[in-house]
Amino acid sequence: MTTLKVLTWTHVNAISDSRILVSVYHCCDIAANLAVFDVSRKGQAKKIYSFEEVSGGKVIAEFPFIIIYFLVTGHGDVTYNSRKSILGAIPVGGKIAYHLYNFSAGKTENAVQLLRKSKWHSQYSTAEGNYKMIPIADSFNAFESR
Amino acid sequence: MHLSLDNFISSFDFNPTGETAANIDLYGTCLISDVNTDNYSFHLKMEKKRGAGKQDF
Repeated sequence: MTTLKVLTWTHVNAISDSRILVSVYHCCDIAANLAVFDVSRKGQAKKIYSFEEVSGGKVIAEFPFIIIYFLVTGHGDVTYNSRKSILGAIPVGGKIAYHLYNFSAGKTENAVQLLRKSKWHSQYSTAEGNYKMIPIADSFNAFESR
Repeated sequence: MHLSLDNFISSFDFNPTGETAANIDLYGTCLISDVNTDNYSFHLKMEKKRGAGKQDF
């Protein structure tokens, strides 16, 4: 069996004044997902919300050892504002600046709701003429044969 | 090797009141927008001399 390691980034954010953790996972610039866990019970993490995976990557050309793609989720970021109980996460390049979620705490359970996919403003940089090259030599080394 | 031909948001945050969002993209454009309306407020392009904005081998 052959396994390829890919570039991934994980962000974890604790929601203040609650026992909630948010985990955001970005995979190789091309996909991301989000999960919210209630950790109020000792020794247990109960998933109370998960967001559909965003498949942002679209491969437009593939050569030996080189993959070209666009529409990226990037490394990702997550931020929470306690005053308004809102969370921003999962940007998608060229389409969505961030997904905006609302957190509401109840007596018995907490609720998470996707409020909006914030638009990508035209003032952001255009990538035309620019490119980012990420060597994935480590990934090649990661081919593991069993 | 991966060639990423598009831009993405590198980092973002809300101001303390949660009324304003600040985003910065891969190429150094910082953009301020209204969280409630999602309307554009301001942006500033910051020159990047090195790093992922041009070439990064």
